[in-house]
Amino acid sequence: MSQFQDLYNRVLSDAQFRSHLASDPADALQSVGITPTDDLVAAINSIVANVEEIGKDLGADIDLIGTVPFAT
Amino acid sequence: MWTSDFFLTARSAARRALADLELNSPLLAGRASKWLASRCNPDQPESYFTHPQAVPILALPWWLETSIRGHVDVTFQADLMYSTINGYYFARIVDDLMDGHNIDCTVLPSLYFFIMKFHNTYHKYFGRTDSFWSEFERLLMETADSAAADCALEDIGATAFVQVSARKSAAGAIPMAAVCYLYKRAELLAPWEGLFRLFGCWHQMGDDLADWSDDSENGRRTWLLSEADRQRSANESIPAWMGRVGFQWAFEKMEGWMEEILAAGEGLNSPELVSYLSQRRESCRREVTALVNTAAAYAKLLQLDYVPQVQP
Repeated sequence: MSQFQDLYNRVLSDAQFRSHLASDPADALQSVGITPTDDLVAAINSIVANVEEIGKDLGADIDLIGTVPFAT
Repeated sequence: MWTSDFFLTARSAARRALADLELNSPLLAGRASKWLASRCNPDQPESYFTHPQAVPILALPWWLETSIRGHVDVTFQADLMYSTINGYYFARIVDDLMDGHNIDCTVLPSLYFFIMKFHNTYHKYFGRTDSFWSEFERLLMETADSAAADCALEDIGATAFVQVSARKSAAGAIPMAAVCYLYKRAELLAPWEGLFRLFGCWHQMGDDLADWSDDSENGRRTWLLSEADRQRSANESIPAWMGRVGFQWAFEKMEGWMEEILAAGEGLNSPELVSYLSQRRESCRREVTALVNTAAAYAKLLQLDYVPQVQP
């Protein structure tokens, strides 16, 4: 499995890591053994911005994957 | 979403439940409040039961009585809510334990109080030989039996999900049975219970969708995760399958149930219920569509293999 498949798996399953990736992509990439080149950080920032736009469409500043809010 | 009459009655009942525990045992009340604080603000316990994404266990009996009489007996509804809230706390603590959540064992003696109040409240309205008690026993045992069976399931498919996993909430229909039997309309229980049963499927899948990562990490089996194991390719991880297929798969199941729920709701003479269900469908569609789109956005990470990784 490539480093980026690992990264994708981690992003989908780990809310803290998603938050880390959004706030400090270079540090988050390093924490999973990926060298944070400028191009990579720019690509991550673009993805994070896209995700934030999707959240804004809902009118909420929420972590979508971790909080489909079904109270039980 | 809620009328002020309903909300104020729910608030009063939720606060009464904790106040009664405090009156009977300040020690237990303190411990129960700590447990409750992990789920909601214990100073506003009604928020847990009136949350827009919660199962409307307090509202369904209200709408049912309104459909029969055109209005509700607020005192009766307040008692139903009080019973239901105590029953819910009982079921929630048991469920948390069964799911392996970290729960302070000093909370457990409060279970005596919760089940007592859940049960005793109905004695005010139904004599010991009333037919209501048969429904009470049937529904409570269905919850107990489903909870026992659910935790032993290894590979869950559609049948097990509908007949077991989604039936853990069966006892939530007890206050609806109370309305039907108090007003001598026992024939209404089956259609309202049927709607609640379908809603249980819809909500359980939503819950499994929300918790898929935590469930996967902690080895809890759900239909969604069983499906992931059946469908994903040999080298595909569960998160990758969720992003590629799982979110959409679960959403389509929920859409199918919601169609059935709305069709069932149309025949129950309750515009409030139909309006509520329509709102839930729309908010769920927006949220899960956003979830699918978010997963798709993150899938671009898989293309980063091709971004140069050596600084020029």
